[in-house]
Amino acid sequence: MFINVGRSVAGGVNPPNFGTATFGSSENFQSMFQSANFNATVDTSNFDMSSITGGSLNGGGIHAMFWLSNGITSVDGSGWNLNANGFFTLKQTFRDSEVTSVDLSGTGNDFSNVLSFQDAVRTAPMTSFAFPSNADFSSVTGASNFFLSSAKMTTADYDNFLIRMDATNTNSGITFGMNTSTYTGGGAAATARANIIAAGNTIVDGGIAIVITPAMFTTPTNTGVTMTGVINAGAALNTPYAGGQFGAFYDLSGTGTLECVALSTITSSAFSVALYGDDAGTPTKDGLDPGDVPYFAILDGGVVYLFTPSPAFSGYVTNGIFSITNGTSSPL
Amino acid sequence: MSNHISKNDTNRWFYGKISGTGEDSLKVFGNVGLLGETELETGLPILETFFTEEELQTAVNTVADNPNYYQEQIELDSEKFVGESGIYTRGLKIKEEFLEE
Repeated sequence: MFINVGRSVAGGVNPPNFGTATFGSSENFQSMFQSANFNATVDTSNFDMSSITGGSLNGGGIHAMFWLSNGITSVDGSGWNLNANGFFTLKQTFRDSEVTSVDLSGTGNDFSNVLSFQDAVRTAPMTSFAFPSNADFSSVTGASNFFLSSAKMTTADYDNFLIRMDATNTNSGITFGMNTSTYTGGGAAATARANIIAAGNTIVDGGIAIVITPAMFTTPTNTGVTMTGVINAGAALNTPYAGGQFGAFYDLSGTGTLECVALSTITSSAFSVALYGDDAGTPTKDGLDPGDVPYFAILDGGVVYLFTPSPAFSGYVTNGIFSITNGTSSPL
Repeated sequence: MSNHISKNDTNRWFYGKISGTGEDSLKVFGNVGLLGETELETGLPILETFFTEEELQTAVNTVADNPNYYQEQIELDSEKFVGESGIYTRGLKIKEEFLEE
């Protein structure tokens, strides 16, 4: 049996009430809500997918299930008990839809027969996409353009994805298109990511998650080598954050942990800040090397704001001078 | 040893390949994403980067020894192509049977 309610709907109608619908072993969810246009989100949380029909790389299972759908913003699949009788795919499952959140984290969901995540989300405005903590991705051979545009996973979800992929998948030649998803540096996810790459795969992502806490605004090591910055960004920085702290942070150790390399108190008028460079006479990197670009951040009222300067900072230069005359800030 | 395109690398177009020539040696090519937001790291032994898509297209077609390979892969919605093309329409040659109904 092939279930499809999406393409039978002209647009802007109430979604069907699936209640506690149970679908048997012969059902195929491919394109079920494709191009549907609901005026309220559809409740799929009670679907039973414990024995759905598998397919191929381009069909069956839940292939294209929500593709181009409108009105469905959240998909709770935590209790689906997803399990296909054969290989299946998440290709295009949520592609270019309005879905912002997918929860497939239930440990009853079995991904061991999933072949591909290619285009699974693509330009849907996804911010959260959770897999089970015991996910088995052993059959995956493709994940190109999984996320594009503004779509991404949370750092916690991406950490889990990397760890489970490394633990269960031995394939090479896969491209993981994770867009701006960021991972936690210096831990299990970073190790997993390195292992996946070393196996001959390719990852596009947002890199290490920027973690800057109030406690990290500490006086940096005086290496005796500096670059001087003049901060005169009135309405963007000096005025709203006067009395706060302005710092620069960089992963000096290469472990994913940022360290403070510059710190000054913000004043309502122009102020200067010293970016500390690496002391070549010490065995470890204790400051910036030429070309390094640190993160700039503001601590004000106990809140840390990431500051993106304008003009863009082009890189550390020993004894150099830079100026910041504008920019944008956003809370971390 | 991995190859890398940093977030601040202005060369956003790339291909990754194994040794040798021909279509099979090309494993991935396309655009790494917005400057300052996304990066790429690969275990593939060869990574070449380019400033423009036109430069990438020429290089990919040369490696593939096929003057239309780049266009074909995009229009066939190949998994090898990453990101969005500014020249060709992705999946143009794929029969969108579901959308046509």
